[in-house]
Amino acid sequence: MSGIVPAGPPTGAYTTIRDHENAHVAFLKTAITASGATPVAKPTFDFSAGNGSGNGPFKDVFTNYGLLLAVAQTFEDTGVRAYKGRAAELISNNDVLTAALQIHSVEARHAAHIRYMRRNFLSNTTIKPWITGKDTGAIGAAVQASYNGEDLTTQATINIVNINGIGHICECSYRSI
Amino acid sequence: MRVAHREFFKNALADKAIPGLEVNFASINFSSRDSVLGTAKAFEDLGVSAYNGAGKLITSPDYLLLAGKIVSVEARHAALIRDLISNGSFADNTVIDANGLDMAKAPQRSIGNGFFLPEVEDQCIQLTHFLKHTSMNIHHIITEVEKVDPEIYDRLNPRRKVIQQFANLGGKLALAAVPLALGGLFSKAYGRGTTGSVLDVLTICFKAGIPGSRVLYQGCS
Repeated sequence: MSGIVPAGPPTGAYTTIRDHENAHVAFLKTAITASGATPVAKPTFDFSAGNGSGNGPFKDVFTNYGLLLAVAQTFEDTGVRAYKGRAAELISNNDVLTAALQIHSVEARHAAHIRYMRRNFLSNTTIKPWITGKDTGAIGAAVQASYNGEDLTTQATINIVNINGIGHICECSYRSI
Repeated sequence: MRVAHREFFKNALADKAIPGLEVNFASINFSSRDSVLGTAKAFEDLGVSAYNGAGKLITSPDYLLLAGKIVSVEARHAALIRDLISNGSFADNTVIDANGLDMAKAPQRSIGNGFFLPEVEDQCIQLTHFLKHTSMNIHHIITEVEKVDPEIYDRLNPRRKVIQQFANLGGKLALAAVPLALGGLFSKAYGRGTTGSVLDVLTICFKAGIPGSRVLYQGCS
């Protein structure tokens, strides 16, 4: 993707995120091996969202900077949800759980920054560093499935809308699952 | 948002919830964007690290998930605040280690001895205790950020209705030395942005919650 990410802060951010992701892979491989298991092979991705065809709605992802940011945002937001959603399965292993939480919050920082980059690149102030309801952040239906459920307003049986008179507080991935 | 977090925990815990605490922000220069953002950054990063560190103490999968839902919002806030200070610092090496891991501070480390109420065993309450304090602090800071930073005002406007009880702190506190100490430490910690002092500040904050100091809670929601 070199060449389409503008020099300066955007390339700097991509480098930062890339280094973290590489570190996560190395860390997880080491941890899995140390526990006596074998890490799975690197999966293949169709970044075009074309179900393997390479011809999906994001087929120009590596030549179109705006699409690259959109795909990156979806991956980061989804990553946050994925780590969060599986954390409970690690509840009996404190070390692994803590490491997973440490990765989880890094992914959230990445997601926030990618969204900030999209906000500036598109000059679209409706795009925020966090998730609003189940809104895709001006990406569209192709990634809606990654955001469905973000609009839950009941957490642990408690309705969080207007909670204790604080007012409407819907703007948050607080509701993510 | 953090008020919502706090209120959520208050509802979830019902009569187990611990009263709030007011904090003296007198030494923060609220007319200075750098001062306010620097303070917000310190609190945000510390909040993330505290949730990460406390996660292993939570025994309920449901509460663990909820804590996860909160911490990821805190991390997004931290990233934004950091970018507002210096674009690209959303996850720099002052908070992310060589393994790409965010900080995780076990409660004893992040908030010092005296954080845990001896009679309180419920780990979720311990987490809530931390949450309630930071939520009040952060919201005041965010409110002030809104005043000096139109950009963030635009984004945070829906949550402006926040804590309004920070005035008259001294009159409400029997232990006058505590806010004075807080004020000094805030100045020291945030004026120069040294993380070690930030931890000291929080240590003091939460030590205020130990048994026998409940007078500190007077006037708090």
